[in-house]
Amino acid sequence: MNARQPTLIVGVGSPVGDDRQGWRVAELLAAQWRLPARRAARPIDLLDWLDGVSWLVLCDSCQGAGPPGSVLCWEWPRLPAVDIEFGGTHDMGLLAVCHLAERLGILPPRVTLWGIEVGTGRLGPTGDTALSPLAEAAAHHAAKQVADALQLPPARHDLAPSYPP
Amino acid sequence: MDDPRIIQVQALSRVEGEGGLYVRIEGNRIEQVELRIFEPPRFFEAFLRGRMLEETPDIVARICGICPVAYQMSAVHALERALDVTVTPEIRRLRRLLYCGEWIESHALHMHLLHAPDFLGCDSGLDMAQRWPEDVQRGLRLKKFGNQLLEVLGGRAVHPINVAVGGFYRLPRREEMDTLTDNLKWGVDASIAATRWVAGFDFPDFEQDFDFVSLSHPDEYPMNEGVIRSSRGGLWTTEQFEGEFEERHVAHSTALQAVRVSTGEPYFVGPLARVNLNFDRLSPLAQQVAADLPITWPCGNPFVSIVARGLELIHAYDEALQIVSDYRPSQPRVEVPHRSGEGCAATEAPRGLLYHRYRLDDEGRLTMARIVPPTSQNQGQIERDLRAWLPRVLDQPDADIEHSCAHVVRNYDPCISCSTHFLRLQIDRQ
Repeated sequence: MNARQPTLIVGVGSPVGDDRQGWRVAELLAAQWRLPARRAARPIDLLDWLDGVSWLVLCDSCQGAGPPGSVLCWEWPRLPAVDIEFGGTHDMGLLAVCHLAERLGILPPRVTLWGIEVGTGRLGPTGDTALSPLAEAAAHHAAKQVADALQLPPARHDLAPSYPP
Repeated sequence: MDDPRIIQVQALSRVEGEGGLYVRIEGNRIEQVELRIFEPPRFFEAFLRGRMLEETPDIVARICGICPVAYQMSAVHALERALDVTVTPEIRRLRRLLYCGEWIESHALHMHLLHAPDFLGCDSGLDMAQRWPEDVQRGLRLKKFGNQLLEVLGGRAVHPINVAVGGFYRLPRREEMDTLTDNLKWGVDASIAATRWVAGFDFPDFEQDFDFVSLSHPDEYPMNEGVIRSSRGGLWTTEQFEGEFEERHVAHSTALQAVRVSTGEPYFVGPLARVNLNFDRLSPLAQQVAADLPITWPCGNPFVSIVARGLELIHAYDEALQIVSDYRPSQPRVEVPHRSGEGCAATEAPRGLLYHRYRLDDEGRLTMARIVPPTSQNQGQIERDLRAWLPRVLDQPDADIEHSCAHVVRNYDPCISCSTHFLRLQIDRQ
């Protein structure tokens, strides 16, 4: 990574259940690697955050990418296969927002998309922000891969991790 | 004899849900026009049976991701009527605020990304974004602040979870409401700009003699309550709804179609009906903007629905700002007893009148649910519009006819996913 280039990492997800994986990756990258990471509940929020960003790194749960916990990566404009879904609510999906940003002329020059296979997903009750053990492990695995891809130094082990060692 | 000309839109785009269109033309005669809804029914009325009354608002919210508040509002009002519960004026105002949030996000999305492309010769919102980036970005921001309002008051930007029978589970703190103020102020100005923008589109000359139907309230623009009014002179209480408005099954659609019982004719619900029947109760600001537009109200041109949405967008931002400015947290909800009863209510979803009726047993469990969504009420009218529209475009190539028919459908912002009914199944065994 060129440190002079502003990089923004965005974890996409929701507050409960394993769909929170994207948020968890962003939290880990911010806490352990001190990276500029944000959480988005709706992909469309991205459109307000792109000013001055030259490398956008997106992390989201997906379905159809393999066994649960699989971590995959694509570089825009190469796109995931059509049977891999970054679905959500009726609001605009992640890929549609990227296409829209591109048409609006505000998509950063480099966009990397990380997908974490969520399987059928565990829906947690309201207020339960814990991930299932598999999703938690996958989020750590994804965070490490993202950090490696950004060619950063190893994680700051002096920071207490928020998960069992 | 020549083969009939068949025009088919296999899957309508820029509408919520899945549906298609089939037109059969013999010579110059329109033989068949069918709005085919093939999305499977989702059986919500059956899901609700046996559920406790408190679960109802969160279950019905799942009928639609664009208008969950409408389903929640019709549900809580119907259940409160069944139980003789009256909410405080403060709760009533906050329910209007929540509805403003939904109208804002739904109308801003439809105007800018779903309907405007038809007028601008674009195939999609994405196509439009490249050529009109500032207008699209304004639309997205207008929508976003509607969702933000839902998040603050409803607990979530989509499928809110804070609506209770009797009020709300929790009321926002004053400082949480304050976070909305600047965005709502921006929204008032931006919605005026958006409305002026869409009013400048080139509208086909297509005035029709519609039977417009909406709620009507003596003191306010209709959202949560009122009597049901027709532009042809009818007036009904909500309790009389099922006596005058009847849903019927048609063979080509999984969704029901509604007609007036007394006339056997379809009718028109939604923003154009609301504006036409309640123009003098729009906010003074929205009326002032309307007065400067080159459109005369009441208006019988369905293509002008996009401007009616704009006026309601101004109204919703204006009213939301007023309610947020005056907000003082108070009692979140009133007590709701568990006892038997039956009640109905109608509220105004972004797409039009939404009717619910419920019956409860002694323990507060639902034994019956009836939901009549606005899109099923508009479907017969949409087919009628297409029949009237097609002779004007028959000399065009099929692809152009498909485009223009889809535009006619999108005038109504149909939400096909709201298929809540369970079709009665009869098995005849010989």
